[in-house]
Amino acid sequence: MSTERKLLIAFGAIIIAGIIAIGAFSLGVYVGEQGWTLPPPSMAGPGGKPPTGGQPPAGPAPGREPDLIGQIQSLADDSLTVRTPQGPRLVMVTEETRVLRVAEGRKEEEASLEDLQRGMGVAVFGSFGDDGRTLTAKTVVILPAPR
Amino acid sequence: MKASLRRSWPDFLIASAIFAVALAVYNATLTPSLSYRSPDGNELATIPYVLGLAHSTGYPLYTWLGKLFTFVPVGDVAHRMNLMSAVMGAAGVALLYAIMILLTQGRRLASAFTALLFAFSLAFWSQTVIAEVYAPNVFMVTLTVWLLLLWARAVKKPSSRLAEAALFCAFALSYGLSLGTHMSNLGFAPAFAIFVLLVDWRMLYRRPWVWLGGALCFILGCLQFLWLPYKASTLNDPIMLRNAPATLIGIYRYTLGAFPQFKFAFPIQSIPDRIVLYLYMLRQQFGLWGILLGLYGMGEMLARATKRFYLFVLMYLAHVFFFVQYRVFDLDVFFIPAHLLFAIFLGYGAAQLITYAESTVRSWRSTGGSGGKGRRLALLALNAALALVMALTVVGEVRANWETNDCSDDTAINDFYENVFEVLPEDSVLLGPGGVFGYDMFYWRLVYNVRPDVLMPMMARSRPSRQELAAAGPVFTTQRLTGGQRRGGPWSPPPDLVPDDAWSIPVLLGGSDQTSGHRGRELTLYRVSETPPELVVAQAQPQHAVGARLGGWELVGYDLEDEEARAGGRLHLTLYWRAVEPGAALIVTALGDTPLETHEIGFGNLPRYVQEYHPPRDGIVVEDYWAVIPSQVPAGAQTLTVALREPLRPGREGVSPIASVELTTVNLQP
Repeated sequence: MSTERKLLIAFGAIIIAGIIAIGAFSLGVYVGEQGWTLPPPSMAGPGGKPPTGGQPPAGPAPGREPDLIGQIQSLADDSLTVRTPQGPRLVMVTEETRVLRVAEGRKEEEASLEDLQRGMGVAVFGSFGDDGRTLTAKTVVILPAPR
Repeated sequence: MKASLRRSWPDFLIASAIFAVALAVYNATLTPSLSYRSPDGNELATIPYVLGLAHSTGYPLYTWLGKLFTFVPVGDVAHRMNLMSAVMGAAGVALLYAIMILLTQGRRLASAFTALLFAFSLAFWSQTVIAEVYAPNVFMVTLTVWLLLLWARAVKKPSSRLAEAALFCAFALSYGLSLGTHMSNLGFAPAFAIFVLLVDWRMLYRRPWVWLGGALCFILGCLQFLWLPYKASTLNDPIMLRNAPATLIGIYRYTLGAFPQFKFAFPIQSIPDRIVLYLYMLRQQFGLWGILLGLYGMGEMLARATKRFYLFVLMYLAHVFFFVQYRVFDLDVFFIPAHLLFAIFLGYGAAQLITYAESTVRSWRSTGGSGGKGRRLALLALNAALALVMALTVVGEVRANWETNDCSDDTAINDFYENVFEVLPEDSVLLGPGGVFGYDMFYWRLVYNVRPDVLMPMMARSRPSRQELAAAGPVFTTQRLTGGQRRGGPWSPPPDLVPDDAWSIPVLLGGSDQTSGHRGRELTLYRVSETPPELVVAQAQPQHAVGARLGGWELVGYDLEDEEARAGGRLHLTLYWRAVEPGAALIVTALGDTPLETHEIGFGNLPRYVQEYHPPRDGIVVEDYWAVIPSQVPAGAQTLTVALREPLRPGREGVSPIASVELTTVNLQP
């Protein structure tokens, strides 16, 4: 084996080790911050029926259905990623984003962005920005947990 | 040459079979026409027909290829554009097989497995059934990589210098052209350059005409972007017009400088989270075992095909690095090329495992002292078992992803707009979203010149004033505009086009898009009026009394104009409701098992109506509207049902109705 090839293999091995290390580190940070508990299967899961006929539980936008319904997969300072049967969807949140919680009996109560947690079912009402590919949430409704 | 052709014809046949299988599945799940699955899909279905200019980054090659497909005599123009995704996606999958054959020195089983596994992976399949750039882009990426690998093989044969030069130029041309299906392919340039240098760096000074020819061919491919200034004057989207590619700086902003807000948009502390998100998507495509096999394949490729390892790993890392930090709503589709590259590693790992298994069987048989016949039988049995396992894996993947990607019944947009253009009065005005979101409406005018008497202000480059609009005729909109429920955003009609206190009164309600993972858009036609309809009356005499309690509401009765209708047509329905325990309620009408439409009681106008007109507390809410009948409802007698539904809860499939009532039987004509 030539020296050149040995060097290439050694450098390539570092790249693979780097890929594995970055992946493992990211998973470690994620699990450290958000715990081991994986969200339950998506609302229908791959291959299942997507939610149909979703309704805003009342109030946030009369006459409108949510722009997005799913489970929170991850949270960041200015965005949340919602898991849907078709794949993750990114939703931007701002200080103006209103958060509502639907309690039992379909009563609504005010909540805050801090109340959002991974695995929660949410309905998002918002609008697309200038770029057409960023959904900014005006209202996030935390849906009741499955019974 | 003849020997080479003799050797490769079985691969040609297998690649053709893979193409046919993939195309058959894509075609069976193809969207019949327009779709909300992608935000840009309806624009990309329309622009090629009119040879216009798509949104940034322009996609010239996509536009031209699309124009060719619009001549295919199947379905409508949107269907033909969907078919283009299916055909080019299937061709890309066949090329993936060819790439794997080159990489694995003819391991057909592993190569076919890789191609089919990628073909039916969740994200890629979803893009082969709609008009979008991602499936054609996979074709261009696989074509480019295949040509590059063929060139690398030709370099080893000094006798074929002409073929080597031709392949290098073909690779460079294909790469330049691929920027017209997705500009992100530019990120592959370092990987391509390093691979070329690793394979034959002496080419730089020994045969400069080869790489100079390649550079010229790449530039030739990039010249497609002259289409942008040529067609800049056709843009009507105010957002795109801000960076119209009519000048050099405009061209830069429309292409390389497009969407700066998306790029590298996350702070460094968010990167682990983004990587986990990517790993989640990767697991969605290939499963955990697939990720492990891909990592193993990476290692094997490094040890056995080091230069090719660098090609693929650098392409992969560049793509993942860029898109992990990309901030868009529908991120999954942007990773499709990364999934393709990971599939190559996965396939390489599978090929090496098969090689090890075969050599183990060979050594075992030779240790046992059996003859050549026994060894052949053992190898045959091993390959049959592996083929069975791989086939079952692919079949399982198809079954798992079929329902999510099956759009063959998605006729909601076409059914809705065909009825819209039938019910609109003469010389009326039709408002709706603009930009890429407006092409569900613009399509009909631009492609089929439907109802030229109807004014569509959002399609024009300059918008009329409110006065001009009012003088033009009765105003309708597909987007609720009034009552404080205006959705806003740059894609919406300008707020000053209609009075702030005007009412949006639903006239025609269509089915909703059930497949996009987000709601897409309501399919409702509203009449814009300064006065509301009589939404709550003291007394009512419905044609048919019902008196059924549904949740907090009583369905007093209904009117149905005609009990004969046709699939794809509409029903004129009036529902009379009395509040028993007032509250928000979701009404769902259905014909047989097929939902017709879903709306909030009083169409969302009830709170404002009550506030402004103070109707009697025990009054009857009157909902008078047309409901679109989906064209896939089977002909014959179908039961018309009205149901009330409760809010959606996660962890449950769909939404169960609180209660429902059967109204009558509608005789549906085909």
